[in-house]
Amino acid sequence: MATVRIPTPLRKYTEGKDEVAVSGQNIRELLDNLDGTYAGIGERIRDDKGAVRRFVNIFVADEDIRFLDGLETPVKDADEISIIPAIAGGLR
Amino acid sequence: MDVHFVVIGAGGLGCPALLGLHAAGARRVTIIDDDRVELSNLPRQVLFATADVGAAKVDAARWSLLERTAVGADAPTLTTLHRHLDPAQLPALLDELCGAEPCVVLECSDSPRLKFAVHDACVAKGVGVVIGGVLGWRGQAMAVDPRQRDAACYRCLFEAPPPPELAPACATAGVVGAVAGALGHAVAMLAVGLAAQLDSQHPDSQASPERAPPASPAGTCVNFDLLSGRVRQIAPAPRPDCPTCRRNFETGPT
Ligand SMILES: [Zn+2]
Repeated sequence: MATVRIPTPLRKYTEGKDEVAVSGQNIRELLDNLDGTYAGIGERIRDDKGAVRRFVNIFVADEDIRFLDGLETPVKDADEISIIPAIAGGLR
Repeated sequence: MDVHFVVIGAGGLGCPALLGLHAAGARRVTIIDDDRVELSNLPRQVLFATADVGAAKVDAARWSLLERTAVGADAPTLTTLHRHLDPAQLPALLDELCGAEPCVVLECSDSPRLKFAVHDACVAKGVGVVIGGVLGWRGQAMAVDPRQRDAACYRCLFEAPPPPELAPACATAGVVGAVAGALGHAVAMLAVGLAAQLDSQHPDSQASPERAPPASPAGTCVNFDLLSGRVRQIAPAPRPDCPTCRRNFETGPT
């Protein structure tokens, strides 16, 4: 299983865990399985057409999947997958 | 350093960013904010004191920085704009502030939409910009230099701002004050890195021509997760279909 690093805003779906082990041959399967285990997290990452949301990036090791094969990017067991949303908040 | 720094937002991110610029020896800084100091700001907005409550943040920040200038040293030129920024006014404002001299913008506001708008306006004008954001224990800062075509812009990495329903506001999700402090200083250091690059290219630069220009932070996004202590650097390649910097490459700065 690959390790998926969960960003702070999504940890409420993973019982507070900052990394979870998820199986899947590619990113699409991995995200499906992630949502299967942690219901609700999937729609924060992908839109209703299944595309990765425009303010979210997914990295396999240090590579942006948009520069690989997108959702079809293959995943190996030892891979670390990072979900990185834009953090555009601030403080008055 | 003869670069003009424009800091948008003088709150939780802007205060430490201004301190960082001041410590780095910035000679010319413009501070833009429409807010006034409140008592609840004081723990993390470290330029302000109790006596500033009710004053415009831009003025209180300016006084506080001037007080931190060594006796006998040349005081930096600190200009203030106490006003609300409307994205439609950004191109004219950048012309006014950055038209005549090398300039780096630090985006430290509390609005995701404004961050993207400031970024886009800076790229269109060919002005370097650092975007900072914080949430919870996390912070993110990205340095963008539109003149460096091999470096990604913020839109190469994030195509659009999160919609309000999916972007928990800091007011509701909270921010660890010290994370804003760390991130504000990171924003300042990235801005100084962009400025060093500009300085070395300036015709009056004292950098010797045979010396290589300093390494630029352009295209680098630093992600802090300060609860776990994890810092991650992302330096994506420019996205070929990025509408923001592709337009810039086709037309050049306007
Ligand atoms: Zn771009």
